[in-house]
Amino acid sequence: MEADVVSRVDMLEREVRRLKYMIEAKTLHEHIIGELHRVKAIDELEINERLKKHELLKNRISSSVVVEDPQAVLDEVIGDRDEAFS
Amino acid sequence: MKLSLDANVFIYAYITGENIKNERKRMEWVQLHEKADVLYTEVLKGKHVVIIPSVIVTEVCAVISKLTNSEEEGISVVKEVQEYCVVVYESASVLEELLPAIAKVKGSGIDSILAALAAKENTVLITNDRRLHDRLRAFESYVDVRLLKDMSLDDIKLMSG
Repeated sequence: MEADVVSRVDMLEREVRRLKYMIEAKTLHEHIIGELHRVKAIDELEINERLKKHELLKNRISSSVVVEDPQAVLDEVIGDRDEAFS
Repeated sequence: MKLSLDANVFIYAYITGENIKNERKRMEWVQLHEKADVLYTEVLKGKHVVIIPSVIVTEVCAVISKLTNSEEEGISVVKEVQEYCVVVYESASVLEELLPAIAKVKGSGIDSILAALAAKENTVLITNDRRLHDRLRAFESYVDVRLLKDMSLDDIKLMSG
């Protein structure tokens, strides 16, 4: 329950940041400078937390793959950009 | 180091490929996964910063959703990418800034935006799309582009310094 609330707050914060960015129409440089500060890991504890969360997500995604040939899907969805835009 | 990762690199990072039945395809995928995994782990550790246009996030969402047949999983991966990477949304002002570089690349919309952002922000662009890699190598020497398949694990580890 608590994890759900935290996750929902995180999601809303991200959405607010995105909307704020769109409204403010920052220059590319201004946006990147602000974001570099945001994505920077603070300490070892945060890094370990990031790695743990990523490992869990990666394992869940990997075990949820339902196709026999992921490369074929990858090629199908994003491998034909030139054809799509030519 | 500042990096721009193509969508395929994110996909290799998130999917281990251990369940692929065909042995040759599994070995190929697992090798790419190992490299992308080391690279993305270094990103999570803060050794690299990833700067990508939002179209890459769109592609990652589409592929993961299709691979897992789950819209939620596609969104879960995107949320994590948004949290740890710098995503540039193509607003009118950003597009205006990228247009000169986009005009030079002369590729598809997505390739052009990715390469233009890499050129503008002076990032190392890593892709597993040989066609994009070769085009940028041939015509756009101002973009530092690397092909994941051709990189060794040592190359990737050395990038972290």
